[in-house]
Amino acid sequence: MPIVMSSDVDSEEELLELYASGKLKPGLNIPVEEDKVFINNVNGIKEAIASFQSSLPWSERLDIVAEAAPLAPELSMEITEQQQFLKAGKIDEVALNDFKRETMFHRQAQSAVMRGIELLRKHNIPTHRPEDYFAEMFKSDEHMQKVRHALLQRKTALEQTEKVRRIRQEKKLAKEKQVAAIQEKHKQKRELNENIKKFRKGLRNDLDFLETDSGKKNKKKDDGGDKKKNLTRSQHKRKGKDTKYGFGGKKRGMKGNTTESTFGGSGKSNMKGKNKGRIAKKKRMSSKH
Amino acid sequence: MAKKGLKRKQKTEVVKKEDEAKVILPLVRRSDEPVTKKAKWVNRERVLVFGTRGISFQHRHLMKDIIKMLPHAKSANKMERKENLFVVNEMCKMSHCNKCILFDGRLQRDLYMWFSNSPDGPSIKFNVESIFTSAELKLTGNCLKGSRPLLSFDNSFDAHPQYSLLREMFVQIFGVPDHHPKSQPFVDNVLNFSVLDNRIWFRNYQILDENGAIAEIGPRFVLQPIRIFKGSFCGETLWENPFYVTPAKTRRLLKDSKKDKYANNKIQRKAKKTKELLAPFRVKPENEIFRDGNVKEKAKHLISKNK
Repeated sequence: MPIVMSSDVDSEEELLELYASGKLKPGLNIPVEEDKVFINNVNGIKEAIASFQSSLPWSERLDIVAEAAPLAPELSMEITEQQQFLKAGKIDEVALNDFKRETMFHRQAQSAVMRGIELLRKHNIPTHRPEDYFAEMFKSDEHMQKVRHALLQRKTALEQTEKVRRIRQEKKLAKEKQVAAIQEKHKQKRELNENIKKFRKGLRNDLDFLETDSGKKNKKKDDGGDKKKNLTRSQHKRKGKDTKYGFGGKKRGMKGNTTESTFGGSGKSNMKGKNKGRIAKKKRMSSKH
Repeated sequence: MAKKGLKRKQKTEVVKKEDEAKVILPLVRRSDEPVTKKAKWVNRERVLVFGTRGISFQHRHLMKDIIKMLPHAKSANKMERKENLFVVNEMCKMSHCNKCILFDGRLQRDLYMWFSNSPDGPSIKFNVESIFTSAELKLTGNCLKGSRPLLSFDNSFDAHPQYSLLREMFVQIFGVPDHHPKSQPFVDNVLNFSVLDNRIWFRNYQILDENGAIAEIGPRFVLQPIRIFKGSFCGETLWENPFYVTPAKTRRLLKDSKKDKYANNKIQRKAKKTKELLAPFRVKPENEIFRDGNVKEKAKHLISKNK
């Protein structure tokens, strides 16, 4: 209960008096602040408006009271939600959410434009600036250049991140594919070994599994043969050299002679590339006789 | 560039003059009679826009933006804080302005804005929040400097008397007079005022085409009305905002909310530690019975549990 004191300083006598009358009770007493009354002089405001209101026609004022413009149907659900928030007094939901707030203002301005353009046409006020009309703009060209640059930068940054993400995804996929292939290979090998074991133990009588496998392999080889035809000249040469000198493996003592190279093998292969003497001379001599 | 604009204007005037030529003039006219001009520039509104010492760079930039938007604005030197605000009326009179926007900055931190109808009121004091000048916003819209804007108002400007007063004030201050020499003849932007959360949100959009496509230009700011006075920088208060909290108080509340963080943390840690220390003694429910009273109830509870 608020107690009105004669002065700010609590005098002893006053307190005793209050206590005697029963207004003051033992214990902690907290002073209660009076509620502040906020002035709202409606008549005064109306008078003030009337006192300074301009009597100019609309073409001088260009003011429009506008409600938010209707949106596309797919977005309208979100908007009704917004209005519900506003009706329910959850103003913070809209006021503190940047996107919701800005769309609200944007739509209000949009509807104002749509109504305003009609009115402007009625009053013969031009809205469209001709292409050849140049004048100083509100924002300088320098600033607009900056804006354009910032937009471009944002766009390129987005593209870059998109690219990196795509590459990462591709790499991931490739690795998965590789792992799957290796596992498949292991599986085939395991199956083959199991079948062989079964055959050895006598659990299996036929060797079909080998045939199917070898068949597959032969097919593969055939494919390789087809490929051989398609080789370029240099690749062909390389293959020949690989078969001759070997590819990988031990390099030591490869070029040295062996018993086979000296004595064995067909003469043709041995004589290949070597001078067999001047045939032309023999021919010449024989033709002389 | 300005020349081109002028040429165009002259052309339009010529066309108009041909129309006017059809008006039949009086047959007799005195030679020293001044020629009556048909004034196109009817709305002779002039706005004095200036600040006090104590506005920050951002507030100054906002002021510059507003001056740029209003071709009928006049700027003045910064005012000393010591002077009484009533002096502003004198200043307006000196510079032939009948409206005034005063940027009242405090400690280069808080900004208050006064909108006033100069000699005889009313005047309104606002607190300005969340300021973004057109330079710091990277928005794609742009419009002619000094073109006449459409002024779009929210529904609530009609609903409440205090807001309708604000609306009238905004119309008179932000509305660019028709045929003002510094203005452009095209309407290519919208100034949007909407009421949300007991504040007035200001946005500036460019009209891209006539179907309602718009792009924002900037600046952005939020006006929180504090008081409406009957006179210009004086007089009785007509309205007071019950929701207004001073920026200093909001800062203090924010600080106060963080005040007890350390102490609370300490207390919590201590409580946790004692709980951990006591944990081994709380194994036996028989002992628990005798802790802090209510022995009978606890016994009953235990028995019911055993059943």
